Amino acid sequence: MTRQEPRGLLGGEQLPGQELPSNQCAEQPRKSTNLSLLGMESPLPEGLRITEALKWFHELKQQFRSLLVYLDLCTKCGVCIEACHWYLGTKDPYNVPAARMDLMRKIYRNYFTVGGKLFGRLTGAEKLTDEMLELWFKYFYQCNECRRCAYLCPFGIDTAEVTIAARQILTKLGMVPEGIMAVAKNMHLYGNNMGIPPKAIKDIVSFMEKELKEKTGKDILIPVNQEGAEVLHNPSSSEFFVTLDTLEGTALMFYAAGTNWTISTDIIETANFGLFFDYNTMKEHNNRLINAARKLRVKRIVAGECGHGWRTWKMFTSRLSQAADLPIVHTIDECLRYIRENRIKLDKSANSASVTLHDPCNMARAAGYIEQPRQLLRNLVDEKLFTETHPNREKNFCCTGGSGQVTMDEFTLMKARAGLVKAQQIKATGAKWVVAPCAICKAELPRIAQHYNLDVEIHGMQDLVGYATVL
Amino acid sequence: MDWFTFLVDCILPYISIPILVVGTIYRLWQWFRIPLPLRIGLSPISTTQKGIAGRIAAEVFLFRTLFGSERAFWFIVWPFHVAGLFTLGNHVLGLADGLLETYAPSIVIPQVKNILFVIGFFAWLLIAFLLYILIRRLYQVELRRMSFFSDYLAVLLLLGLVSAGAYMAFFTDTDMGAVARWGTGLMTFYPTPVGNMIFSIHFLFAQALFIYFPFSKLFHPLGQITSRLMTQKEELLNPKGMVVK
Repeated sequence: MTRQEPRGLLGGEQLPGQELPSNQCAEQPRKSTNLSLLGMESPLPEGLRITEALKWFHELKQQFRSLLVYLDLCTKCGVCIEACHWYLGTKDPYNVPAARMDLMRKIYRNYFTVGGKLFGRLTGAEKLTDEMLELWFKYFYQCNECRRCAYLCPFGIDTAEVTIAARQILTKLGMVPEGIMAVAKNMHLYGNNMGIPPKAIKDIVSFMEKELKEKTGKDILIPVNQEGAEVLHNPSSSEFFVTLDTLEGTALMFYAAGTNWTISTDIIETANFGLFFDYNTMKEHNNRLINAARKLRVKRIVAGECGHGWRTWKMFTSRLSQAADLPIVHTIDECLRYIRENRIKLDKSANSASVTLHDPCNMARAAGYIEQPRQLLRNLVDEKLFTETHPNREKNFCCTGGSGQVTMDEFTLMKARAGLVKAQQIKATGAKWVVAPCAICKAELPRIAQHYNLDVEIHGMQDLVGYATVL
Repeated sequence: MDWFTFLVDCILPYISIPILVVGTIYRLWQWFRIPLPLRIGLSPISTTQKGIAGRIAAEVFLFRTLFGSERAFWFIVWPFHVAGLFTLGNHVLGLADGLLETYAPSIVIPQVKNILFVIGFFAWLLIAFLLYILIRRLYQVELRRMSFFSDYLAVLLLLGLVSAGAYMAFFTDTDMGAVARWGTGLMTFYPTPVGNMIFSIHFLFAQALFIYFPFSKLFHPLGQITSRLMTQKEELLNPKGMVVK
């Protein structure tokens, strides 16, 4: 089959990195072989997978109305075809959201609906086979769970719900990408995705404090495990290694506002990879944060920059950990409050580059964080320097790192392809800085920028807060 | 072919209409008995009762999301549904008029005939829209790839229904009084066939759709409401929280 090269979506501009070898279509995530975290010794052998998969499929559709309704509802109207950046970038027919869902819907019809049992293939019903399970693994791990198709779907059909369910089933069969498994293991052992032990956290923190002293001449502390603090800040572990400016920015913000805050060595991770493959893991991570907050007797949690993490804390905590009494606030909200209460002063002239905003999928579409980042950005950058991407807000495209794909290095070329739309979007703005208030976007966007030779720097929102804070 | 009209007009309705009613309730029960353990909000989220009602109404009556995501298609889809609704309304009006003509000719309003005639033309609009939808499905590669027979069946049944209806209304002289009498007979369990072949064909398509509706993608109006309730309203969640196994 010949694959048509994707046309430029926005103004038809072809970018230099767009011509890719055609054999990259075979690329897919490597499966993990070490499944001890899931209590499994090895992946299920082929013969046992089908019955086990159907058992868990039944279980999930009894537990999640969303899954059942979305499997039933699609009218195949075709509105989602152009909604998915994976389809736009790869032109792979299975990457049309409705067609991707069909991989699961075919099985659902065959085993769980009267129509499918009576009329079989006429309704699209198909028996579950090992080849189908491999297709599930391939295509449900090519979905970013960004929910752009859900937003554009006339019925609000949420592909992410189906993707999540399919991945749960695959996890029960022992089919988990290596990258995601490694992250989950780090989280389980150390309370962060990068596997930083408590001792190293303290070392990095004292290094950062020194750096802050050099920059500002003031003793700006990053308190660790301080009981009775007002705020427990939960940053992303990447802020300790790669995007140090983000955590330093947050430290500057708290210092300027005079807030008594702390981080906990039990958890320095806003990301919750459990959402991407296993609800048990998601619950464990969630409880970990709540327990850390209870242990340090803080009044509230301020969540750092991470899109899906924020979705989990904001939307799921009350159900997962029954902790409705413990407020969880986003750093953006926290900063906006300080501005409102005149507790910090920001100097816009410190951020003098032209800027555009990337809306992290889970913040914009799942948690309704659309105006807040823009409001904060207006306080950080001169209005004239700011350009919106097109499309923007709820219609913005994903960075292609979502749903755990950020961890899959073996998958880089495919991701670059899916990132074509994002690259075109960024290029069209002409901005020098892309502000992305999400650790995963901050890790993935530089790869896209490198692949397509975009001359941009990727920054977190807190980086800009740090630069602009007047002490 | 007396047996055919008798079967379609007088026997089948007692099977197809219960299937429509019970099937619809069954399908909704199938959905709503399943818990919804997590808040899966999708922007824009309303927090007030009024806001939620307004948002769902805008989706159901105006196809708000489609207007935002694919406007050109909205200008096909929305008028198609409105034309369908008007045509359905016309049936009610026509039956009422036929009943009055039979049982109380003195209070028949003559202008009603004009309304019936004008709205009758919507049938041709419906046929045009249905043909467009069918051709679109065949013409667009990705859409054709993911369509199964069941995706065509709904359109084909509707095409049959509307074509037979339009033929009956414009090219035959159907006695609406007889149809109205048959309707009342049906409701009092003493049905008499209309005795009109083309009417029976039209009504056979209608009944096929009655039976097909709850178990097919034609169920999407109710699916729309169910789907939007899930992303808008937290109170519908399972209060016990999630059972993780």
